[in-house]
Amino acid sequence: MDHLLVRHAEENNKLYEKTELISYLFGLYFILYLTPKVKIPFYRTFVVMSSIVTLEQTIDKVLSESQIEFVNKIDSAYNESLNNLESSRSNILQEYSKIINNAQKQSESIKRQIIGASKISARNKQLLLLESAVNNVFVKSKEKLYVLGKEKGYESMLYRTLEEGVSAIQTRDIIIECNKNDKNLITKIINDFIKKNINYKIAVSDGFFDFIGGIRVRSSDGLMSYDGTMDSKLERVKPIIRKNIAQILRGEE
Amino acid sequence: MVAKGRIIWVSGPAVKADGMSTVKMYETVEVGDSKLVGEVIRLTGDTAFIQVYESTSGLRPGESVTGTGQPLSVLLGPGIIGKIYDGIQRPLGEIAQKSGSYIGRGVHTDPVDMKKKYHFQPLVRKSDSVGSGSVIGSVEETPLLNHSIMVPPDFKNGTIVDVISEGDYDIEQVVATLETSDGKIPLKMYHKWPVRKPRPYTERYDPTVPLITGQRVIDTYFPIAKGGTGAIPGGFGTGKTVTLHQIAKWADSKVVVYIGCGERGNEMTEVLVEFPHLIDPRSNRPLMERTVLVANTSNMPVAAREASIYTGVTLAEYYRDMGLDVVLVADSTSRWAEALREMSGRLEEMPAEEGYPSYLASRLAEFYERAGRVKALGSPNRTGSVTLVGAVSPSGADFTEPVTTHTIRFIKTFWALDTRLAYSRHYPSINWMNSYSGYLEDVSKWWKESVSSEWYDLRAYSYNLLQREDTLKEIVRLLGPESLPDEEKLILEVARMIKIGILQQNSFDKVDTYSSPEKQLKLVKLIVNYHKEAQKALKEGITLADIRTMPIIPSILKAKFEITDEDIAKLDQLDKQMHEQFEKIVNQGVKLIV
Amino acid sequence: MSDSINIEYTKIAEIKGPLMIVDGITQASFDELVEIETPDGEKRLGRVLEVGHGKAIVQVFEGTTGLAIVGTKAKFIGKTMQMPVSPEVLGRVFDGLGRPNDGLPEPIADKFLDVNGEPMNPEQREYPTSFIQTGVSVIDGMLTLVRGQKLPIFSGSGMPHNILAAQIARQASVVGTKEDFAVVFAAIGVQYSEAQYFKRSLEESGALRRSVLFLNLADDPAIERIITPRVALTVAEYLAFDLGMHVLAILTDMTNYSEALREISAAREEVPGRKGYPGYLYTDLANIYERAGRLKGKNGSVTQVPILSMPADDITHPIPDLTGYITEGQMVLGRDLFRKGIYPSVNVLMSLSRLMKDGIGEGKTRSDHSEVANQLYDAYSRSQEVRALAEIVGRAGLTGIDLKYLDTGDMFENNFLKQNLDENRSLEETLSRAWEILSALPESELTKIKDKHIKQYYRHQNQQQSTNVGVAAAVSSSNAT
Ligand SMILES: Nc1ncnc2c1ncn2[C@@H]1O[C@H](COP(=O)(O)OP(=O)(O)OP(=O)(O)O)[C@@H](O)[C@H]1O
Ligand SMILES: [Mg+2]
Repeated sequence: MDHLLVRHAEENNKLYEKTELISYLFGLYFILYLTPKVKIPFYRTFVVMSSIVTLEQTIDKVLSESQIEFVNKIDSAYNESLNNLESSRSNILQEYSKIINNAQKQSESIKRQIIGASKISARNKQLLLLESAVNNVFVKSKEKLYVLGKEKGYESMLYRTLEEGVSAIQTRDIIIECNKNDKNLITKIINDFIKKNINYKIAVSDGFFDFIGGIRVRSSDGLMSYDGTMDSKLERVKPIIRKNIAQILRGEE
Repeated sequence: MVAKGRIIWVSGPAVKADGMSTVKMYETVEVGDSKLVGEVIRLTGDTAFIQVYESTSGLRPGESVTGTGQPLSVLLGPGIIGKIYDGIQRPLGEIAQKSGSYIGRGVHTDPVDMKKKYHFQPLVRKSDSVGSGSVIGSVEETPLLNHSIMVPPDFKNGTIVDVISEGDYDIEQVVATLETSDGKIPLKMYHKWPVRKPRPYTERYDPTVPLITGQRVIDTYFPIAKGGTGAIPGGFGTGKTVTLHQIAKWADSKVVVYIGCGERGNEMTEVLVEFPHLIDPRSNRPLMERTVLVANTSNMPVAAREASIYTGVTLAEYYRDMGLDVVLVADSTSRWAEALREMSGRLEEMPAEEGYPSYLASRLAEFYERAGRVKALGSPNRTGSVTLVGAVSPSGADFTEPVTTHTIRFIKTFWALDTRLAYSRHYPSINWMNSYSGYLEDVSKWWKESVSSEWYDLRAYSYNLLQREDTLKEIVRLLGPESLPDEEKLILEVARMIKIGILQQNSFDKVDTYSSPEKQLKLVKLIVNYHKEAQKALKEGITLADIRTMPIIPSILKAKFEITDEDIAKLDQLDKQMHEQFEKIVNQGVKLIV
Repeated sequence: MSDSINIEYTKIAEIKGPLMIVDGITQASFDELVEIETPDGEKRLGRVLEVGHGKAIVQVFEGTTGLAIVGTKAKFIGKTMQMPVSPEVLGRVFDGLGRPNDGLPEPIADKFLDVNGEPMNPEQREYPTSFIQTGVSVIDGMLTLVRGQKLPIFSGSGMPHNILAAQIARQASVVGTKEDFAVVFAAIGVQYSEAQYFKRSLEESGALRRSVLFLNLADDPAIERIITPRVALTVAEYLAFDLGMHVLAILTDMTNYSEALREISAAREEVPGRKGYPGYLYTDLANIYERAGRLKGKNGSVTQVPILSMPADDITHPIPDLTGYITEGQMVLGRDLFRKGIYPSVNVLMSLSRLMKDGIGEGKTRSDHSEVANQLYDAYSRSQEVRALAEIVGRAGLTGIDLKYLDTGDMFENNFLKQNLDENRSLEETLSRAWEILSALPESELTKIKDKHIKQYYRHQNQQQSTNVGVAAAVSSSNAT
């Protein structure tokens, strides 16, 4: 028996080296491969075809393998039933604790949610309150500015604004916009300016503008304008003023 | 005469200014009220087109532009090593002292500490005649590095009329006076050099000595020579940066220039954090003492990215001129090419492929041409080298895009990173079928003389197995592994062992990160021997299953990280054990059969 | 630049796409903010993209619909776009340009910060090394996130990227329930329902008051999206580096962002790069993604999880491609896993966390962590190869070891990857699940794990086997009797 095996092994080896046989082997292999359940690696094909002894061995092997499989099956069935028994007990326990756990998780999350939400909404109310207080302060200070903000410094401020505006828009034909109360003052300032800077044509606009103070410098073609109103200046410093007011209101200063 | 003009147009990093008729091409200029650094890249009439190296946010027409009369230059002298620079040699450490966590604009600082004292050792005497480039003295820049003070290469030959005595001086000190046909010229410990102009040398040599990187797939399979060029292209996450870091860490060069060009900030930080703690295996000193970083990260101004490559290579050439071996790694040259593309687009130049300018190829060629092993100018005789390795980041990991295809034309070592290998965590993901080295024959002499005469054959044998595996895999893909004869299955098995045991190398493992040439050779030999023994065993009738499950195999595969360089003899033991195990199974097997 | 404030121009030379070209400019600077008033009196915002030769090209965030050559006013306000910040931004909702969107007033600012930020000095960065536990096995075990990392989610249409991001945000915040954790969420052109899902998730975990939301929804102006991630990150940086908080910034969806950028580029008639996206898309995205990290001498951190949907699931598309080149790894969601009903459907092989190596190991997580992760990758990758092979040659064509790998792959997907939406796994559990999978392979296959760790954690099958044999013996003996 042993020598037979050796011989087959040798034969087997030799055949490998013969490339012309490979296509033949492929053919055989595919036939076998396509046969249901006989999935044999292709190099073994030849062994099977060439020797009944090997075939018998293969059958033996298959039989013994299926025996093992059989035992294994029984084994696993047994195990399974044991497990089932075990797990149905533990399942109940698990389910039970799951329910408790879930409820706990949920209540935790609801707690977090409620606390979080109430903290936020409290904070937001505070923000709104603060904002309305800030706005109040703003409106009042605007009113005050309108009435008494125009003291000595105002004239020179307007003059500087005019200079800035003129240089920014880089034209010589200019219209100035201002509020009703300032009209006379502005006319005076324009005259001052023209005295110092020749070749400018500056007019005061006829329109009404209800800004607190300051001027808007516009090119007469209307293509460009420089905003030097107190309103826009106030708007620009608003964030800083807001912060200051808020600090005072909160008692931080 | 210094040019003085006005900005007339701003768009991102590009600025146009008029009134610039006296400015020179590539002259550096100060742009705007905050004196941003810019460089003239085109002149039309009296309008200069300027690329600005800092953010132009807030810049407006009407602000002034002033010429400096100088091309973009770097300062060369002691104090460079250990520093981290931006793309135009501003030291980021010092910038941080001025502008904090973020890089401010218009910050001006000296590239090196002008006040630091170095111990100067004169190497010439009065009335010595010296040529340009000659060494006149030396200082210890770091414990790892003796820094030669040289006559600037653009000076004429002359005679030393005065030299200072040995002692501690800062680098502004005049250390010698040279008399040439132009008169007396004071020599300091530093000079400036324009970055776009390669530094001259006397003669070029062929690269024949391998740059040992300790990376097995590089040194053993695709070696690079000192003074050679290499490119490492790969899609994102394939391992370019890690490989370049590995080269910067372990290459047996004297100086390393690491250029982070348009890549991540954290990668630069990593080098800065790690290198001072890593010890050079050859000198036992911290690696930072031989490293200089040029960092222009992806969020830094794009124009300076373009400059960073030139800044880096000029620094490298300077150390080369001292007779040192320098490695420059650039991560990533694609970002540099993109910076070229962006400026070219703003210049409204006619684009070539994928919007890149038509001069992309020539710029790449110029860069890689600055590599080489050379005889330095002047006396004494010095041979130094600059090895250039550039990462390439092809869009969509497609190697047919312009930067990759043009780079390939100018380099000799090609390490092709493979996204598929990276996905399967085969690192470094250098594809062994697509990569190549043009230095293989050149360096084999070194291996033969310094390591072992077997190197070439062992390499060829194992590489051949990999090649055969590559074709066999096609068959397996169609028919499954069981369709192969045992002998060929064995090849698959051994190829797998080569892949795991040699090609794969974990940079983050303390032991695996570096393999000495001896260890590399022994590992290859171990697996080659395994294959030979296994073939014999198969012939003896031993089944493949028995060979495959030999208990020695996991030990072979883990030898790369379980056996350190100090314990290298253990590899011989392993080899012996393997032979014994084969003997055993063959004896048992034969007994069974007979 | 302060002296150019408040000049208003009315000469409009051209309006095209999202751009408006203003003529007759005397004073304007690059990148300056522009206030625009339409002929109907509606206010809009814009930004200068290019200025010179008396003209300025202005990008209009709300779009140019309704603008006219005559009657439109443009006011150049002399500064770049800024975001007011203060601790009170927490718990607030803003629009895509950073204006209040929750009926509350503009925050009272401590500071105004330029939304473009400034590049961090790499020398001043602190290398990120602290592990963030997300409670998601695949992330903690194989794609570890660290504080200060930028790790995007690459997704595809219809896949649950938002659910995953929300889970990360919820669970990462639970671990550090301390007050120093914050979430910044930027919705960039996403649907209302997606933003709402996220908001609700934060609400339910009680984290809303430590969150800041920026919402540019699908029906909001497209060009606004250029700003949305920038304002969000400005706030994130403020929270992190001024207030010392650990901020998780989630940006979804960066594909919409990139499309807005493309729209502008096309209107400017720039030479397009791949798929019509501008050549500077890489740099532009880097300016966003690089705004993550840690800084020396500061307590906080900005960790970014950008989300993007890959058009046609194509990872080589320019948006995921360039993102991958910038971020420190990526989490890629796989369509196949998604179809199989596996959540989170992370395709680990295509995914990567580059900073993982420094965030794990002895003293941080566990000394075997990196080896286990490497081996898991290897095993799963082999299992995928075998799976592909099995489809062609059938199971019978496979070797015994291949079959083992095949099972390992299934185990990995079902016992490790798959996880519930509200399941918060400890790191111990994650690693234990990993070892369970690796232990299904023969010990000799674990070539990436040091012997000492195998000794410590590998679970030998023989215990189980021996009991099986025992039972089998019992069965056969009972049969005999
Ligand atoms: N030799 C290696 N050993 C271990 N891990 C590696 C190795 N090479 C690469 N990696 C892994 O791959 C990741 C990506 O590598 P790396 O950052 O070098 O990619 P890259 O090619 O530079 O990508 P990008 O183009 O996006 O910069 C690393 O973070 C690391 O996890
Ligand atoms: Mg990289």
